[in-house]
Amino acid sequence: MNTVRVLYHLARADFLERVRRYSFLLTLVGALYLGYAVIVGDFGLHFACYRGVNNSAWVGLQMAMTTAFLVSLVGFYIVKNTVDRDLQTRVGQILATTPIGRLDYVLGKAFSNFAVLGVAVAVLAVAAALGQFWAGEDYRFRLWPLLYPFLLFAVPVIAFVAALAVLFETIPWLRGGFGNVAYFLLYMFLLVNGLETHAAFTDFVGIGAMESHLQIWLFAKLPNYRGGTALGNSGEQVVETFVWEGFGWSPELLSLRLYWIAVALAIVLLAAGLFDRFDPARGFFHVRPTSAGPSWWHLLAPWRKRAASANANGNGAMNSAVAPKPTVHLSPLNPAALRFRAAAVLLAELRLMLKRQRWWWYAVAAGLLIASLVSPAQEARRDLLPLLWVWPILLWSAMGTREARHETDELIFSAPHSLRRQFPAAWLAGVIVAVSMGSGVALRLLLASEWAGLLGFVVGAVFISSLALALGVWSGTSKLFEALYIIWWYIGPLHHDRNLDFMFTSAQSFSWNVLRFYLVAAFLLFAIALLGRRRQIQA
Amino acid sequence: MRLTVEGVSKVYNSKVWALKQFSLELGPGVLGLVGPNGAGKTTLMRILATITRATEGRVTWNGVDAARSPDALRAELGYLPQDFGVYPNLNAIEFLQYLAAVRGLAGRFARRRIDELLEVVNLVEARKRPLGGFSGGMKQRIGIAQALLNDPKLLIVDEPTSGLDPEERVRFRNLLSELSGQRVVILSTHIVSDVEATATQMAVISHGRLVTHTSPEALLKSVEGKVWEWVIPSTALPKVKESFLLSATTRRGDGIHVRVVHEESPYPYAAPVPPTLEDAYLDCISAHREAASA
Repeated sequence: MNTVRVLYHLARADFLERVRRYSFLLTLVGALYLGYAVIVGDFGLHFACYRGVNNSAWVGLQMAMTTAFLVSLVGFYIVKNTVDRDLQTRVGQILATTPIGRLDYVLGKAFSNFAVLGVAVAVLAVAAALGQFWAGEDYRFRLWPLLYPFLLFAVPVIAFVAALAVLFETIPWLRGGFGNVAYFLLYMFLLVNGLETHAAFTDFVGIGAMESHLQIWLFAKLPNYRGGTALGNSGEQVVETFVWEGFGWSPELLSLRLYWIAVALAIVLLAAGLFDRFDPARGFFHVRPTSAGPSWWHLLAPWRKRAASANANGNGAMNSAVAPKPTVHLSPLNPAALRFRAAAVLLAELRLMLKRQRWWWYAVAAGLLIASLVSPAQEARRDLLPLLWVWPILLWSAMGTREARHETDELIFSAPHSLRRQFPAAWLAGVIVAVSMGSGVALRLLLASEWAGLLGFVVGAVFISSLALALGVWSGTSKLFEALYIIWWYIGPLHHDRNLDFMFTSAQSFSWNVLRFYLVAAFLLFAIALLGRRRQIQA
Repeated sequence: MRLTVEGVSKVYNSKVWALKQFSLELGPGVLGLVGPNGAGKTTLMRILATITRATEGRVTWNGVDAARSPDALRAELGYLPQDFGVYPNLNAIEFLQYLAAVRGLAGRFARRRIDELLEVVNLVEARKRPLGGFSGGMKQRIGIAQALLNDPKLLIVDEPTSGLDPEERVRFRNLLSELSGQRVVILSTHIVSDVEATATQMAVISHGRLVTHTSPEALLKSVEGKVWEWVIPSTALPKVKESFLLSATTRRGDGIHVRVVHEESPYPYAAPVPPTLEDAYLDCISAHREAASA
């Protein structure tokens, strides 16, 4: 009983904290827009040129599948912040001193995630009901056929996503931006594999299961149907409708979906095992120092001795009360010292951006750069530029959010002319990172006299930095850029979608109109970022 | 050098008044701004540091409106916020170099200044360690160092000694006293002993209003002959707490030594004692509360 009470209050407090945030309102607006898009037919479910008549069962299925498909992606990024918030606000340290167990904590957080996503699903279920009457094809309202697809597809999806988000947060290296990128790759793998193979262990959205069950019915009812399912805006003309009254009792379908709830519970258990209880020294992934160390460790002995001595001195500074030191006098500053230098700020911003990267990050970057230098211009542009411009994603995603994230905003915003000095420097640092990473490709394009490609390269670099800064400043989190950029990168540059390819990865994907669009967008985004920062400074 | 605060008010969410008609005029010296929790000290500090804008009234620095031309004030400002963070992957030197660049301090001067400041705040030996591993007190000292980077003419420090050990607290007080001659220093704190040691002027703030702006000596004078001490058994303490403005209690072998602020002798055996600034502050706040509730 006590555990239930603890879980309830843990999930409740977390849920209330989230739904009272402005970002939750945006989530609901997004859900409403999605509902509207389905109702008006911009997004929906088709079987080749067939669709169902808009009765309760069909609108329920259509909305539930859309919800499962999109919430499984976007929902993860919405809810993956609950443990991190406890870490940042230091509430976690308070909770760690209470008798609350690791499983209770993780389960409470997963419930809260589930509740937040559940509200969005509930909004879309109401939208589905309204959509039936909006369509006006069948006015008989039946609650169960409308709700059943939500229970069958949307609920297991949000349970899985809620649990997975907590798991990612309990693993230190998945807690940040790397986890955001990794989830997208995992999502794509599961989705594509689920669609292609209909394998139960990867089809977490349920499209494969739905397709299998409905196609049997369709083949029986529609003699001309030859297969094919589309969720979204397929562009295919719907020429015929059919009346579908909903799923009958199917233990097989039910067990396929219950499987994902079981997976969610297993994930929560795993997360509880990995959760470090806000003590980084305790976590499963913490590397415990050993006294001996590997064999190469001894080679570093002289260096380690120096470092240890410096460390001891540092600790001495903490315990300085033992040996009182006299007050040191501060000499006045030469007035000539106060002379602004843009290059100094730019260098400082670049150093701040690159400082946290490890050696292997630079090694991969250098490898990609060398590969782009030795590859022919077209291959470098088509195959390597997308990789070169996805590698620094976590550098760009910190832009505009770093000050709030590390609570240095008051220090920086109280500096003179920070909008004119620090802000453009931060933007330019982002552009420099993009240009440096892609410099091999740029050189190849230059040598091949691909002037249009080179222009596209510059516009792409400017666009990335502007997008990162605008999203960072306005959202206050790096997650929005990480999620949006990786999806955009996947659809546009990686699959060479002409309109979404802001890297202009091939001569075919280049057009002056698209170039103009991204150039204007870059300047608009910079202006939007500037307005956002101005608002932060003059709060 | 003159900082003027004219009828400044600040309202949050259209209903909570954090400051009401606050006025003050300051020249060189240290102003100790004291008040209870939630009195409006941090809001005032943030307005003076141009972090937030006043809802009403204005702040001028050497005659220039700080809301209209904030950069004129920012160019001469050193600010230590109550809550601030650091970039955990940078070390002390790199962090101060970054802020020096943002504040417009030329490179060669910056390096020399940073070396000096690290010595002042006693962090020379820890200067190359990532800030992420610093203790709370060490981070606070980095905060003090960054506030002094540009040799500010206006230094605003909000709860600067919180988290500092006794020795570092004394060092900071000495530093503040040394700096005060050539600049306007505003020290916001709830630790009256910090003010006692450094302030040349005092402003008491309560419920967003200025209660008094005076010298520490004048404030002390206001309670002269009104502070009493006597010994009571521990059972009598609740009654004394209820009846008088209790300034301090000390448990000793002969009972509890109580110290109260009262117009007349509260007890036949009570002896008058020299007042401290804490006695004066408590009396001032208590009188303001009584006047407000009347």
